[in-house]
Amino acid sequence: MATPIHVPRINNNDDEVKVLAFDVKPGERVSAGQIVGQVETDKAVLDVTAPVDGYVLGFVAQPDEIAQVGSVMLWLGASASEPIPEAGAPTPDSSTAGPSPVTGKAKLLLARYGVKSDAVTPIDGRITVEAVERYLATHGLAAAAPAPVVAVSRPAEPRPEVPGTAVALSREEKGMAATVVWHRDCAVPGYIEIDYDPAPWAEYARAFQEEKGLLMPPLLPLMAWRLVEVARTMPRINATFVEQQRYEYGAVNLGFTIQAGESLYLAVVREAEVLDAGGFVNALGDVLRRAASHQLRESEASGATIGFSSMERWKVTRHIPVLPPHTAFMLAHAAARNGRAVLGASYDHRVLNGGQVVAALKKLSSPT
Amino acid sequence: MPLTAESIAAEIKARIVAIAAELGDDASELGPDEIIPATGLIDSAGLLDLIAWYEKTYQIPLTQAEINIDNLGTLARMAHFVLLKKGLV
Amino acid sequence: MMSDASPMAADSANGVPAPFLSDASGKPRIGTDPASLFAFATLIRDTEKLILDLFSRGLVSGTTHTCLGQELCQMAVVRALDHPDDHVLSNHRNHGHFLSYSGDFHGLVAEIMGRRDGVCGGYGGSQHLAYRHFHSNGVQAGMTGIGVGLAAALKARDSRGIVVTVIGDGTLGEGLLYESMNLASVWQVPVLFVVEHNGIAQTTYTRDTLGGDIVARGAAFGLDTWRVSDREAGFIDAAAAVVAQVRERRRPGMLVIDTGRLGPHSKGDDLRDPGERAALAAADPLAALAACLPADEVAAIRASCAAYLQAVERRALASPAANFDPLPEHSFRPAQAGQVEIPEVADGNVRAALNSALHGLLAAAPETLLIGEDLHDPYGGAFKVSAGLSTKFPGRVISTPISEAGITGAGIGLAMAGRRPIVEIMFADFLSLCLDQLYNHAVKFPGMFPEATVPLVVRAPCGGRRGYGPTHSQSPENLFVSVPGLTVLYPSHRHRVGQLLADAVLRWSNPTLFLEHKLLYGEKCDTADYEILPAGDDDLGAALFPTLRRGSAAPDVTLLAYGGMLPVAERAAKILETQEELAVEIVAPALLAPLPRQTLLQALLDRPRILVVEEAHHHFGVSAEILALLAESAYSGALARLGTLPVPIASARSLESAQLPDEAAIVAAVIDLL
Repeated sequence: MATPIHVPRINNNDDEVKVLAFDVKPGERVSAGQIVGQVETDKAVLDVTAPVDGYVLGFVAQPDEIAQVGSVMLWLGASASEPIPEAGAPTPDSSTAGPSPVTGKAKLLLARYGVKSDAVTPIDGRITVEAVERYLATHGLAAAAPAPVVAVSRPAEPRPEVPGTAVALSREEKGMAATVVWHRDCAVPGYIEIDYDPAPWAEYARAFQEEKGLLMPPLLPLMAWRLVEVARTMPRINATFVEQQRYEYGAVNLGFTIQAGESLYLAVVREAEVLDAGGFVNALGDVLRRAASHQLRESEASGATIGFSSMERWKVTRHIPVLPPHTAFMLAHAAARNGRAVLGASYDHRVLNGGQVVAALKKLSSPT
Repeated sequence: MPLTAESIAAEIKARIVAIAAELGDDASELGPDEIIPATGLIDSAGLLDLIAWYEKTYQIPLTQAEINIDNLGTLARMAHFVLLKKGLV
Repeated sequence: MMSDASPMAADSANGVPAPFLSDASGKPRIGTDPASLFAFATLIRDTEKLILDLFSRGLVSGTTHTCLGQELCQMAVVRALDHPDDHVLSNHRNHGHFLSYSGDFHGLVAEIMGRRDGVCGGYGGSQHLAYRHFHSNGVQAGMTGIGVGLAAALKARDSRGIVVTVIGDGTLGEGLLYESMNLASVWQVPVLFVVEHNGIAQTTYTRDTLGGDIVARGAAFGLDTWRVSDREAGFIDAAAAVVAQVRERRRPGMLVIDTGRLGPHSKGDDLRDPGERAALAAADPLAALAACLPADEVAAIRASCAAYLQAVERRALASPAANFDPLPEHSFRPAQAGQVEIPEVADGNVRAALNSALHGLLAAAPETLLIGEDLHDPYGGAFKVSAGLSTKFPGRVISTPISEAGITGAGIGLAMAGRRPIVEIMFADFLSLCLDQLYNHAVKFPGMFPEATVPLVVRAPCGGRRGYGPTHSQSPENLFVSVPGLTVLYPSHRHRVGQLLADAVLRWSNPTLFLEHKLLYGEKCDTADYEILPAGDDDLGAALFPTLRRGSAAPDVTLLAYGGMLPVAERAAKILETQEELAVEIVAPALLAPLPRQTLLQALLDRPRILVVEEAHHHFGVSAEILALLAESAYSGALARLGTLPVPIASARSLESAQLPDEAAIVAAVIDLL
């Protein structure tokens, strides 16, 4: 009968040791007490000896392998030709239950769409995301999903005749496409601008910067803050249009466009109306810095209720911004020329009329 | 590379020159003690870009309270602030 | 009345000069002639009478313990301390020691009245006082280990100073005292244990609670011993001679002073019979001193004391109630600059990283030292973390007696003396033995006394899954995170564990518990794809001891795990991702207390589902606090937690593995959460 030599314990507190080497070969005759190999822990090397006379049948552990203390390291037999006993079947681990019939993610999807799991045909015995999606597709449910941005389904567009390469859009580019599509398909956009003197604003920002010792010129954040203030007093500019009704938001989530490398973000400060000017400038600064390093959080990349866009940086003197989804007012700030500048706004005509927009712009054209 | 005030300031300056170049400005003459925003070489979006780069490059997450002229207003201050945050001064 | 005039002006109250002079350290100079002794002892007695009078008028916060009748006993040793490095550690009955050391009568009276002028700003009251090298605290024998640590620090820097630790005979029932006496003897440090033997502990006669002999206790530990009585002639000189001998011999001693308590233990608890009290009063040493002096001199001294104490009282009454301005929210000191870079050990495991950190610390910072059981080579500690250190740094890696409380106390003393001790407790389960030292001492001094810092790190291996059974397998962080002022770190192989230890030792001057899971010692250090969460502005220590994050940015579920649970959580995350198709995020703090609340909220508040997993007996523990934090912050997602049930951890592996949460349990908990 074959005799196992087990991996010995070296240190009370180590359950694993490294098998260093074997000093014997399979088929070799060994005598009781003979050293057959070495194991080591972090600190010590230990010789392993044969407990009985016999022949080396074979190794279970291998040199340089980390082996469990108490596992079989090698086998000895009464004769060199004795077979190595079959390894016992691993003890089933009762604590590990089999996978559930519905995957966790599938469960979430079912709940979101209100579908019962027994309606869905499993794939390979389990209800997976794929199985749920198949069900949704065949029952026309996918389009009704309350997903944040859903592209309007349309027939497949024909490929251009001229050969070219299709480049997948980045996440940000997809977001931009969705925004533009919303502006075109869902809003009734208009644009109005007024002429104003930018000097008081510049002076106000300069004083604010000096008072607070700010590194960043705070002009644009302060104008955005003014927009928040105006939105608080004119709830209809902080609104959208839902089911034939004007939907006035309960919070002012200010979206601010920022170009970071190739990506254009609409970075959002949520519940801006509860902040004061300093708090808002700081909060917007945080969000913008995260945007600049492409680390916007989910909550900061969505949910705008009103927008602010400036093209001053590019020395542009007038631009007509696109309305972000579910907003009705996007302020357009631009570079001054000859001491005058324009302040404009894109707006959703279902929610606002021209007079209301002009009233808002007039308030925005001066810091107080 | 060892972090010294000089080497850090040189890296930061190189970044500022690159940002200014995008806007068609030349920042190569920027001195170590010039107040960067006052030079007009880079605008607020450029400063934002610079600060984001600074945080990432030197692995020093900043708070709004730290982003002020005293800490970051000049090349020399920005370099010193890196060393300060790393406990090297 | 003073034997020696000093240029130092002593305390004065409202223009009434103190009737004594002080030395360059501000310590009263008390001569050994009867008039000087009588004058200062009368000041102490009349101060305590004033305190009792204020108490009866309802003007004292809490209670007070007087040393009426024991004034000479309390003065004798303290007055003889003339080295600027001399320390006094006292107890609940401390007014005589304090006044003899500080001469701050106004500070004491105002403190006991809870006034702003109080010497400890109103924190201390009668029994928790600090003044230069004087500290008293209210736990019997609690200061004795600390005294040994302070004395060890004096010895290490070749100071001629000594430490005097004063206890009452009632304290002879406390075990920590004997750990401390043994440690003092083993280390041969200049500490004098003074036993003020008044024969009664609160209301119980010592004869009913004490077995064997008092002096023999000291002798048994190899201490030099002396016994004197404050009723005998020459007592003051005898006490001074003992101080001189301890200072000269640089080794520990025990002085027993037989004395008599004239008043109650505290207030209204003197149940001794009138005959006994009359006999004590008849032997009052102050009366004996007065009898040696001309009557007119006695009268003059009494008048001068009375005038001075009237001024003290007036000034204390005029001081407004102590108030906090503003109310401190915590007692942590901020992180310090000056990082010692600990190189990462290539392909090293946690054990190697910690070992490397300890090598780096001992090499770079001479104030560091390692204290614990069985640390020496070739054994190198029960888990081999200290391997090689005792050989390389002889004298700074100290294998100690099996005295967890004693060595923790010594660590506190060393830390208070400016050293940076790292105390290793062999198994975290034994931290219960250190609890009083951490709970009532290490965290109390920095909170009570602005000048006290206790940069102590206590390391302890913890956790189960090794079959070690109920008292060697626990994760006791749940007990310690609730100790105000204690920092609890519990990193994993995903953190830069060596650097964390180095920073905890050198840059975080707060008492800190550093937990190490036994199973992590063999895990390879690898930060993998974890990123550091930005530390919240208000989170103390959060930047120094960062919280990590990995996985989906829009997760279906977030697992919050730390320490030894992290590998388990990672295995569970893999199952959830591959078998359940879920997007999983892991958030892994290393700093458990003070909890990085803002950091965690920033990361967690917008997550839809969070499961906090821990290996501890988790009711009232870390997970409870994190869930409460989320609830208080109007978290609107689904929450759950998973930990070990409130039962002893079994030795049998099969039972233990069913008790401790494993990956299957985490997966099941997540499925329940969906």
